[in-house]
Amino acid sequence: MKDIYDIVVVGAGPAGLMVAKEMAAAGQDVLLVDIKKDIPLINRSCCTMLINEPNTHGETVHIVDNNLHFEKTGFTVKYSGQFVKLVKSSRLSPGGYKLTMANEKEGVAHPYTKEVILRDLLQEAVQNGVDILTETAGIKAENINGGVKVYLRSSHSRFLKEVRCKIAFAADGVNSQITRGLKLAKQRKYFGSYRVASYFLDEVDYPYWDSWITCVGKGHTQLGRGQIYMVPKYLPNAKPGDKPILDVFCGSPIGVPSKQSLDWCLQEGPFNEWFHNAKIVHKAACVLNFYTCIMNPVEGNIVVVGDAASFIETYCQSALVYGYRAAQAALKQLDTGKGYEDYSTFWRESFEYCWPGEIEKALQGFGLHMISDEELDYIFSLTDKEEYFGYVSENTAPRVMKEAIMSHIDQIKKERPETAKTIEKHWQSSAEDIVQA
Amino acid sequence: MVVDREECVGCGACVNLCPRLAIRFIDNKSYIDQVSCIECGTCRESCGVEAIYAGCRFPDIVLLNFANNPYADDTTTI
Ligand SMILES: Cc1cc2nc3c(=O)[nH]c(=O)nc-3n(C[C@H](O)[C@H](O)[C@H](O)COP(=O)(O)OP(=O)(O)OC[C@H]3O[C@@H](n4cnc5c(N)ncnc54)[C@H](O)[C@@H]3O)c2cc1C
Ligand code: SF4
Ligand code: SF4
Repeated sequence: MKDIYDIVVVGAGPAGLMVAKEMAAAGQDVLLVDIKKDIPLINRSCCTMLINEPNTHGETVHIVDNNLHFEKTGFTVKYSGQFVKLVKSSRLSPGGYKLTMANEKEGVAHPYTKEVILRDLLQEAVQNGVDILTETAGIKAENINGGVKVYLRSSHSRFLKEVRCKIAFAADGVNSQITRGLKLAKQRKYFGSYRVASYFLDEVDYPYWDSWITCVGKGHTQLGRGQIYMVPKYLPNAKPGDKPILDVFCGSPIGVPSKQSLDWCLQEGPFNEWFHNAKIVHKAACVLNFYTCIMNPVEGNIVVVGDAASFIETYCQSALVYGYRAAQAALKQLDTGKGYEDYSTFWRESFEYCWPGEIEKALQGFGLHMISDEELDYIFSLTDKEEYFGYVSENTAPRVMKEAIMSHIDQIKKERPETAKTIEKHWQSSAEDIVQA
Repeated sequence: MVVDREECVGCGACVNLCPRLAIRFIDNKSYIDQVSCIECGTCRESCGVEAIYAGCRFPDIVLLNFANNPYADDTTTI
């Protein structure tokens, strides 16, 4: 490791790996650091679904020859693993009724194996000559005359190491250490924090292998707070012909124990019979601090990419796109002295959560907290046999859900006038109300 | 605080949440530097799998603090 590089990238998730490999491919001298010892290892909860809905965060991703092809930006990411094709996305009430969005032809989403993608990206980064430091934390980045000073600390050392570079990238994820130290972080609004516990389960007796399931309502967890999700996917070492496992996870506001809620759901929840013989083959977790997006993700020569700049998540696929775009913008900046604007404009225009009202809209599709379980069972009993065209994207699914429920509103008004009022009130709830509930 | 490394799943979340930068990521799991930790509890509250617990680090010193308290009123009983 040297004291001076052209580029320092903090964080080797999809965003950081893409930046590092692209910058090195263009001849830059790049240092990439991560706190992990094994970069491709994924112990952070993530459904790793490829969201194939056109125009997701400004990009349309197709599976072409098993690889991920990014149509609008125009690049391909190699993938040598397997996909699960999900054709339905259902909201499931505690009584077992559903509201289903479906797309039989293209699928609603395609879970893949993130380890495989990261392993291949890492290999490319190494081939392109990126210097990689594992078990090393990025602590702070500071704009200095003509570049950036980045403070690093090895997991095994008490001392800070200073590295200078022309451009530094903060790609250290949703709870970004680097971003927290920047002025632009002060403009963000904080809503609250969630923690997630997730188990990968084998041997489940499960009826929805073709679906992404979001359990809504209070009856799925012991304390009635938090949400359970289920998604089939392949383990990193799965061979063709192997069965997928089921990733079941619980997200709950800080203060509510997510692991305890998950354990309770599997043992005593309304669908516990699916899990009587289940074996836990892997565990993951994560913490999400909910902040509004960074609207201008460049401060001096420090560029923020991926989840580090976003509200909750960009998705892996979009972390790759923003990484790619940020790298191109940085190369142009180095070349002409003007380039960052390309990236920040694209970010603001493509990432829906930068737009007014989008955060509220997305959250309304998940937290139906005002509606009681009994009412939910009633509403979903009306939609149970129907399928509405849609995908899993949190930016578009809430609209489909709203339309589905509202298509029955006359009947609900007649049979359950109080419920109809609650439903209408729900679509007005603020982001804070939903996160806190 | 102390990390139960059997329970820690290695998500890495607590590392960036510690206000004292006391948490190291070693072998893909967390480890808390006992000298830097101020027992603020942030990491314990945040861990998704409840792998962090409060271990009283200096039991002898705690006792000593009570014994040496100059404001102690000897006649007060609990
Ligand atoms: C519950 C859940 C479900 C999700 N489902 C999906 C899905 O279905 N499909 C999808 O595409 N996306 C999904 N996501 C989102 C996806 O995981 C993220 O958007 C994506 O991983 C973002 O990539 P990133 O590179 O920005 O950050 P990350 O993947 O978080 O990578 C950050 C990297 O930085 C490292 N790091 C952190 N701090 C430091 C530091 N201080 N110094 C050095 N290194 C550091 C970390 O070890 C990590 O390797 C989900 C997320 C969650 C939480
Ligand atoms: S938050 Fe919990 S599971 Fe995640 S790294 Fe820290 S101790 Fe481990
Ligand atoms: S208790 Fe506070 S200071 Fe100690 S390791 Fe946890 S977050 Fe850091």
